[in-house]
Amino acid sequence: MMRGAGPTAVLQLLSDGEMYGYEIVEALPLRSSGVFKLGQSTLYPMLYNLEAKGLVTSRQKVGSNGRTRRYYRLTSKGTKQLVKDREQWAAMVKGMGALGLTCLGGGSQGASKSRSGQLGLGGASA
Amino acid sequence: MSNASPTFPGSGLQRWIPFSFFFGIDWRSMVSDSELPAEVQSIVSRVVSESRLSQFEKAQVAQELLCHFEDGNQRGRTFSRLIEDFGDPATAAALIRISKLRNRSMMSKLFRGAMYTALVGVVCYASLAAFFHSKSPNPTVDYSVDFNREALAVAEENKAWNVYRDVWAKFEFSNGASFDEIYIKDGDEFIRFVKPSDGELWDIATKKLADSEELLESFRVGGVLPSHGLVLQADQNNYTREDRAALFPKHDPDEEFHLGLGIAGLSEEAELMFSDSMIGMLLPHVQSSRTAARILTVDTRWAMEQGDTERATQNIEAVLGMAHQTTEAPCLVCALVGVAVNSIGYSIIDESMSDGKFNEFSEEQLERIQSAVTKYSVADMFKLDGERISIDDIIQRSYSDDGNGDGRMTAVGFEVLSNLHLWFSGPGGSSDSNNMFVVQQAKKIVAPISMLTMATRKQVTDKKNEMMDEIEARFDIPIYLDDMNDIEEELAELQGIGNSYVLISNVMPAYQQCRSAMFRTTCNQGGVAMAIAAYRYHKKNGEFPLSSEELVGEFLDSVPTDQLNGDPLNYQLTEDGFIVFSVGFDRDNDGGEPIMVTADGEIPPKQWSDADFEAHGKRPQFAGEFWRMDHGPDHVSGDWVIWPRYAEQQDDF
Repeated sequence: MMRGAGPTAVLQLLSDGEMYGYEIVEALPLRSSGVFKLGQSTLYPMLYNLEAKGLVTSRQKVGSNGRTRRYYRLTSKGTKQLVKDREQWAAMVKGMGALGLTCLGGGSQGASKSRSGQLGLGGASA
Repeated sequence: MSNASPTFPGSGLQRWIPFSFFFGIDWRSMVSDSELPAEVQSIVSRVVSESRLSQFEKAQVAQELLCHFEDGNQRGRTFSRLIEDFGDPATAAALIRISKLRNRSMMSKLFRGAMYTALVGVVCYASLAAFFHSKSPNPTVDYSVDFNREALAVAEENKAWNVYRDVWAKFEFSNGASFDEIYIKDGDEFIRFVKPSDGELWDIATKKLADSEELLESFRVGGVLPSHGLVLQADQNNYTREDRAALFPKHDPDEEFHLGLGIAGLSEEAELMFSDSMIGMLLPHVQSSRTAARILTVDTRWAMEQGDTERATQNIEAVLGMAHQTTEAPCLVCALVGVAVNSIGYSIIDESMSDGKFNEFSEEQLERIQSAVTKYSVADMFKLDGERISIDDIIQRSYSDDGNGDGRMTAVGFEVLSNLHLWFSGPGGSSDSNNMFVVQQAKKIVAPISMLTMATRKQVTDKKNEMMDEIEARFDIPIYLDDMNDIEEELAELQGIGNSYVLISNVMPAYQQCRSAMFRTTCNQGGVAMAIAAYRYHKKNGEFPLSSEELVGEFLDSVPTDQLNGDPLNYQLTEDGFIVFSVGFDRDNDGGEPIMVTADGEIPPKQWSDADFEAHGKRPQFAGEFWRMDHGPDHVSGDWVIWPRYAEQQDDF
């Protein structure tokens, strides 16, 4: 697993607006075409870490179903961090492409492939 | 399912207020009240429980996880699938804990740190206290045998106590107030002894003396014996019934009594541990010797008024003998009282022989008095064995014993020593009882911690031996060769090192005061002996000698040494007779000019009247009599006139 991919992916999801925990769990594989799947037990620690760094903030809110959930959203600091992360990922993809790695498809180098063929983000740490 | 939110009033501040740790939000109820399956509740409970977070944080996590499973189920996932996808609860709990801790506010972290520190402190203190209280002293040596070595070695016929005991009991002599008739007092303030010119008061005093003739005769007979002979007991109940009746007339000799240490605020355990210790040992015979000397002072006035120089001579011999007997117990308190009694004896001699009255004594009586003056070495009166013994006894009652001469301070030892320290620092333990109580409680709390810095039994014993050896050696060096005060400075330094040597700094003798007293009394002894030699010379030759050298041989073995400069004491003829003097503390011979200073530093009139006593309190001292350069008034010079003694100094108290 590439270090830092999980938090960046979560920050990217939150850039579209605030989300609650299970929403993020569900959205990540959906939005990444099934490539990324977040370990559910590690999502919440990741969110707490991002909150500790001031990259996201949370609030309790009563949802449309009347249930009180904790919603997470980007802070201005998180937005700036996401811009940096995007630039780094773009540079990395470009570099990898120059090396010909982007042609490997579902290759095995640099990533651990799960049984479902999705790239696990469970070990990522913020 | 429950929608309870783990918030509390002012939730906007919840991240900043450390009190959230104390809010017991019931996350378990939150989980059990949910309508989720038991398996889900179990996982949520396990994760939350194992996170070991605060109650508030646990409630936050519980609520979020409950929502997670409920949301997942509503989106069409089965609970079993959600449980499978959730992963290992233990890993989740560990990661949640780490991230939540990281997410805490600085205040919370500081508060938590403080709580942990306090907890660790409490645990350490409790462990230390348990260790501190785990051992007790185990005193095994009865030091009273060593303390009484001289008295135990003396033959019964040489013991004055065999003469004193029954008579003292009969007259309740040890009950201090039984001879008020011989004093002139202003309230409780002593002014002087009664004298023949006091008219009715004199008659009352002499009647009291006549009524007490049997007691006075016991002084005269017992006083000249070589030993006091009383075997002192640390526990008053160990005295024989007869001894108790004589020593403690206020107590029923058939009933047990414990006077205690007299130190305020001691626990029962401490009192018990020290009840028969050397520091609790009373010295009832000491004050009795001083009182006897005072009674004999007035009786000698009466004898001289009656022309009974033989009784006067016997009284003087008795007083000087009692001074020696007082110092039989080898402690410095006894020595100090002994030299005070000696001084009373010298004053009686002066009063009895001044203004030509020496002529009323026979040559044989003068020789006996001179012999009584010089009979005992002053240096022999100052014994340090008792101090060593007492400190050793305190050590064995304060420290544990590891069987190899070492050990550590115990709770009972610390209690006594710290109270002893307070007692010395304050007015005899009678200071504000509330403050004392607070200080004592504080000391109890601090006691286990002080163990970390307190010297061990061996360290204290070694330090005691080192300092006592040094003090003993210093007693052998004349004061004119060494008036340094470095031992007292060392003691002051010891008091400054926390509590390490609290025992040493509190119980070491007032060495410099005793040493000064020893050399001052040596000077006095030599001067008085020289004066009596001059009287004897006069009786034989009809005039006083021109110089002290003429006394040597027939009347004096040698001219005594002036302890302040090492030269012979000075003898000088005057219009009235002669004077014997030391050069005084300024070490400068001023031709015998006796400059006096009062306690408040004034130069008093030559004659010290009753009104002067009222005005100035304590009698004046010769400027030259100050024995330490740092204690004397530096603006006054003058010599210390040993003979004749200053007019009202005759009423030495």
